Amino acid sequence: MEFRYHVKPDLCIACKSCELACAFSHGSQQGQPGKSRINIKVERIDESRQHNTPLLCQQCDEAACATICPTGALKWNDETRAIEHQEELCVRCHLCVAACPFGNIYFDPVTDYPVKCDLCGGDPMCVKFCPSGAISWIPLTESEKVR
Amino acid sequence: MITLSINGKLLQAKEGEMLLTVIRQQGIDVPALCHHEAVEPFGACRLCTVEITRKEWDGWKNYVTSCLYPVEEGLIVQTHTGEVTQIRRTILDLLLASSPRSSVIQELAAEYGIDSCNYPVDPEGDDCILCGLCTRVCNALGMKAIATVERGKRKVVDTPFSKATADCIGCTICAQVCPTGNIKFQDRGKQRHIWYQDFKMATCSECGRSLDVTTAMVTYFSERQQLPEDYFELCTECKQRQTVDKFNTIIDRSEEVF
Repeated sequence: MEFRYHVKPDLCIACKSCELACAFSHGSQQGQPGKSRINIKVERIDESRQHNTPLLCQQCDEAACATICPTGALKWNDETRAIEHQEELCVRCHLCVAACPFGNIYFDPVTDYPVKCDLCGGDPMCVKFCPSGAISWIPLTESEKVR
Repeated sequence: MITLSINGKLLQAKEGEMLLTVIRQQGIDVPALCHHEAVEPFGACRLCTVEITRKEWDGWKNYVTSCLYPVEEGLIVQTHTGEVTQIRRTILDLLLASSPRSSVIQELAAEYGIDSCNYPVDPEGDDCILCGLCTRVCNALGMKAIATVERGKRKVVDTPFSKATADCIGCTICAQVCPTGNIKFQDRGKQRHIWYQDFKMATCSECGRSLDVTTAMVTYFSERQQLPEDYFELCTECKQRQTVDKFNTIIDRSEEVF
């Protein structure tokens, strides 16, 4: 089954449950939450209003992070349709973080490795915790499939 | 597929894979200091030594560095026998004599039951174990800025003639892969110092923040990896703000409750 990660920023209430879900599902081996791969940007408009935008990896077809990686540590996973980071190949040059045109790769301060959304292996945890439907994981219909 | 046995467990591996890779995939902790998956295996530290045998060897055994040994059909591998542990203990003891202050070596040695070094300790020994991982990575990525120089006791990792070299781009990958953390560099805001020279950091054209990569790295890797240099103009924060602005232009925010 193929899915689309659907983002509706106008529904986001900036509760940051998705960030928590992400951090806890990507906990490092030391038993502490990892760095969240999804990031809610809050933009204050006036006293009563703010614009909230969930930002996360776009899983680009021709991804700048994967292109610039000199050791091929960022690879497209055909099964999950995500660009995944392989720690054992990474030399921590920081180029992927600098190259991402959307600013959606981060450095985990604990492990010192770049972290990015891996779609939780095809079942994103953040979506399950979103109370407002700002992010959703929608199965593609036959006609929507690109490949 | 190749079938072999590791610590009594039968498993499958792809042809051409090295023993160490397969062993680590099983979650078995075999120490290796000079190994990095991004470069060809080299077998410098010898810590990944394991015991191999076969049914037809009639009880004869061999000890091989698992990072350099390709998987073979019917191989019987043991990773933590008394003999293997003794080999690793000797290697760690010698490493401890040459790099007495390295915390990585000290911890590994303690793990293998060495309370104090049994060889004459070099009081001036630095943390470099001369495994050459830094030079191999530097070569593999095409910079070729550092190499091992001199021989024997005077052998060290250095740039040509211990001087600043135009080949170095200040990527600090050598320091990042160094198993004992012996290669040092300093990041001072918009400058980085490594291998006798200062590098200018690439900065965000909007907020001026450092991008954590040097301008020389951007020039070198954008050509090598075929990615236009303009990907390195903005910092993460500013790029995110740009993405938010883009969202704001395509969605109608006027009826938002929050």
